Amino acid sequence: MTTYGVERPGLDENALAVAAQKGDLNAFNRLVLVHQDMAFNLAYRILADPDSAADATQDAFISAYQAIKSFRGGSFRAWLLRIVTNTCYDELRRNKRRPTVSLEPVSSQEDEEIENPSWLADDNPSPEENVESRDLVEAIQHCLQDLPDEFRVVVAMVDLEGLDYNEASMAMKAPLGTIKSRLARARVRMQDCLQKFRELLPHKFRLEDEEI
Amino acid sequence: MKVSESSKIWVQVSSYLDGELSTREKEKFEQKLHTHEDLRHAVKQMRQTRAMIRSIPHQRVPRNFTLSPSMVAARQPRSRILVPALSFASAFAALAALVLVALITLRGFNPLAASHRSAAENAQIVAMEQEPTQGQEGPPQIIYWGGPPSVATGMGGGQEIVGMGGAEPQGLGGAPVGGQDTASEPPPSAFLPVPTSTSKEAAPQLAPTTEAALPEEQPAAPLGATQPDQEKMLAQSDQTLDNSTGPILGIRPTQQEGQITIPESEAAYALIPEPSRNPWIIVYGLGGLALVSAGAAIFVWRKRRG
Repeated sequence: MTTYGVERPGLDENALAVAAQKGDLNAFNRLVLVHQDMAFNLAYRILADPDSAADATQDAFISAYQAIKSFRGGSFRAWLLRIVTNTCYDELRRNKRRPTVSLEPVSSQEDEEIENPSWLADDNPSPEENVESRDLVEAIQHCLQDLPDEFRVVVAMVDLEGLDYNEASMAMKAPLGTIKSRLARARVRMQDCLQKFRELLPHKFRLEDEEI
Repeated sequence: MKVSESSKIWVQVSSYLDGELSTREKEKFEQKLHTHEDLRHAVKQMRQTRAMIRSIPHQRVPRNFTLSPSMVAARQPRSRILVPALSFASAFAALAALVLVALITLRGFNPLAASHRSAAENAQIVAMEQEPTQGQEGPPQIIYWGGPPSVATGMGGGQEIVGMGGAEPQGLGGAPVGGQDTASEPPPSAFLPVPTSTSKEAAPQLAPTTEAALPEEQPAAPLGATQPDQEKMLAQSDQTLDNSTGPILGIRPTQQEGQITIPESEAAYALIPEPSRNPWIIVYGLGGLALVSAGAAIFVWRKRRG
């Protein structure tokens, strides 16, 4: 977990936000520079696609600037992440309504493509992939994508972006107990999912007495 | 303690690892840790899972997301009023249509014709009153009270005449034909009170107009009435008609004979095509408005969501 999302000493976010509320775009851009990594990574964990995450991040910052007058103080990071999260949810809903169609060319080689449908492969990793990839990051990312959206968001906020429970509660507009429950259940699911990738786990992450 | 069966324990374990338990909760939880091997194992498992998740490297941002004035200006804030306004209009129109349907069904309420109904009925009554003057031909109907007179009466007849037009000079048509008993039938105006100021030629024209009203409004003198009583009644009738300023007892002024006068507002109402008075048109209009506004609200909402 990195700490670039944490407020920097000497940077008065509330003062910058107040200046942005008065139309100071430069002040808002300073806030953008502070939080863009966190915003992009959250979007990336939710959408699992760098291009979609970049678009969603840009849209979220524009929306944040247009709605800056609704910021009433408190954690600017939590306020901003709520906008990023909502933008990503909109993108997810849009994708569900209009699933993307592969641009794979339809030609005389169609039979070959069907025989080798790598782009139609199931999300679940095959045993061969488990042996071959040996990539812990991909395994974790795969398990993250298996989580329900609200579970994935709370894991991304707390475990990846370092928000505390109160900030996550503000960012998700959910009660504190809901955040605790979702996070615990998400971690249990991640734990169960990662058991399938036991061979990928570094020794320090393996339980001595764990059963497969 | 079976940790896997209790999600509440997992919440405590997760919160304990994140330092989100209160001091009291933390003390109680740590006491359990000393006594429950399963709980220690659960804490260890979740700690490792948590560490694995947090080990994911962050992605580098592909570009700066700072805003330029053109980017901000390119996407103006969307109006937040349109969708609620359309939704409200739809709901209001639907509600109004329902209320109107209920009124029409239960009470026969007609918002279009209600304000004009009395006027229309009045116009119809006026037309009906004028109807005999327009279409009737032939001799007017004569109504006798108490049966036909036993003695034929002629205008300006003898002592036994019944009704108006007796020997007295005030009687109708008394002067021209008075005293002639040769008339087997009385002329149409024989029993009608006519203003004395009316010319002799006008009397026959008035007769058809007033015949229907005559029995009700001005009945002939009862058979038992004495001669002085009859004279008194005739005198009162003449006096009243001398002061005539408008239709009295169904008799209209001479200059308005044969005319049907309808007030302007009633005439305008009569020109309205019949279908437009149908109250269901309003219901259909409100229903259409509700559907259109609801469709527009859904369209705008979906368009904004992409």
